[in-house]
Amino acid sequence: MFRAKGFCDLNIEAENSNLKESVLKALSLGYQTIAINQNVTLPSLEKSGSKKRKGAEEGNGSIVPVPVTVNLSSADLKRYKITREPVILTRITISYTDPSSPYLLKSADAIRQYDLIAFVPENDATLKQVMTGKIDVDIISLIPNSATYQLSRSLLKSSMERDVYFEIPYSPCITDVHARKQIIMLSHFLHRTCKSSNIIITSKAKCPTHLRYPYDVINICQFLGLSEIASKAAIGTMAHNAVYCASARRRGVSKCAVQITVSPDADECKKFVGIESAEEYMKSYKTGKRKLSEKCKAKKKKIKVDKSNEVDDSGVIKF
Amino acid sequence: MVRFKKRYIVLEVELPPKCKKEDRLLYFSLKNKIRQLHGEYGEAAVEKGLRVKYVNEQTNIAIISVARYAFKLVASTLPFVTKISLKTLYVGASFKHSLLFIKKHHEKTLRALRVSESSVDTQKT
Repeated sequence: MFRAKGFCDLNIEAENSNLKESVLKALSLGYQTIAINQNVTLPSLEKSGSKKRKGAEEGNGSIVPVPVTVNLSSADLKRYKITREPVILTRITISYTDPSSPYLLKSADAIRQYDLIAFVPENDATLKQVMTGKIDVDIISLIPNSATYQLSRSLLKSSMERDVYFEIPYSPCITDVHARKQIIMLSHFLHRTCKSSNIIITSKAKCPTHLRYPYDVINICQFLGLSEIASKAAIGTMAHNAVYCASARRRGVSKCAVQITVSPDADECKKFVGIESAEEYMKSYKTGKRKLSEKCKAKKKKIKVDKSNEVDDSGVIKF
Repeated sequence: MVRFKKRYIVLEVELPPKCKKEDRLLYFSLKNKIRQLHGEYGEAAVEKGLRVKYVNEQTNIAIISVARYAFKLVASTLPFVTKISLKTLYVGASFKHSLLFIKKHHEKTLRALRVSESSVDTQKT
């Protein structure tokens, strides 16, 4: 189980001009949590004929690549003056058009190797599938040019309850005018539909020069129409939540049990087996059949205090 | 009279090699970007206060002043400037305080340099 720390940049492309340098630059700029992203497009069934489909099935394992990791030596960290301990995650972005695609189920285990799973739904049907929770999703990154998505309020509410986060990439809008317009449209669309909640902002940087200083990124967020608080949360707490929820999803539900043992030489007030007998015992006090002695009362108080400290000498409660 | 309030932004600048009139380069690259992003309104709003107060080639630091009401317009365009790579270090309300910040910043970087040099020396020996 890992936790995100500091400022987060949850999307640095693995197909980078210089991956190691861009990771180091991001760390030296002040980011502490970084996710290295790999893109996968699932082939749709309609296009591939029967022969092609067979071929695709044979090469099924190769659809999802092995996660890329970057090894950073302490000398590298020192050279870039990085003092804080970096958290480096792996992320996969799957874009697909066909909601009944078999590859999702087949390569589920391969996908699970990654720390973060992002989906790019390319039409309304896939968007619905992603948002209703039929697949494990951590981040939804919408395509900038399709502000024609139709999102219903109930779907959005349910997806927010499941802690799914929406992503806005900022590096394409630094270089390209056309992309900038589309990303502004996208952010306004998200603002209109889900009121800027559950939004994270990522770099999607393909070279180290596309990265920006975290406080500049906050300014970019304000340019895109987020409020001041939302824009700071977009690279801070929201991203932390996204990473935390993702790791919780991988891990599954955690449960714990409490065992209570009664030692034979315990006092009268401690001698009860199970909750039922304890309730009976307490009832008898209320009706006045028995009276608690001062000693007993004192001991009861002690037990309450000792519960947290895991005391063995009383021999009553062991966790 | 109420005085004309300003914001002073301290920037870390990476200037292209062998450039003359770096203050004009900074000013016009910023202004062009503002025109591109915020249109005529943005250009007019910024006109009154935007000035490059101080540029230093050796230390790669610059200070620009902006009218307070137009601060958000300028701050949001700074990351989009691609001719020169800019990085905001500090935003102050007076020129004196931004100079004080620069002094502190230099002290900090010098200390870091000294530490790294000494560690290199120990490694050599």
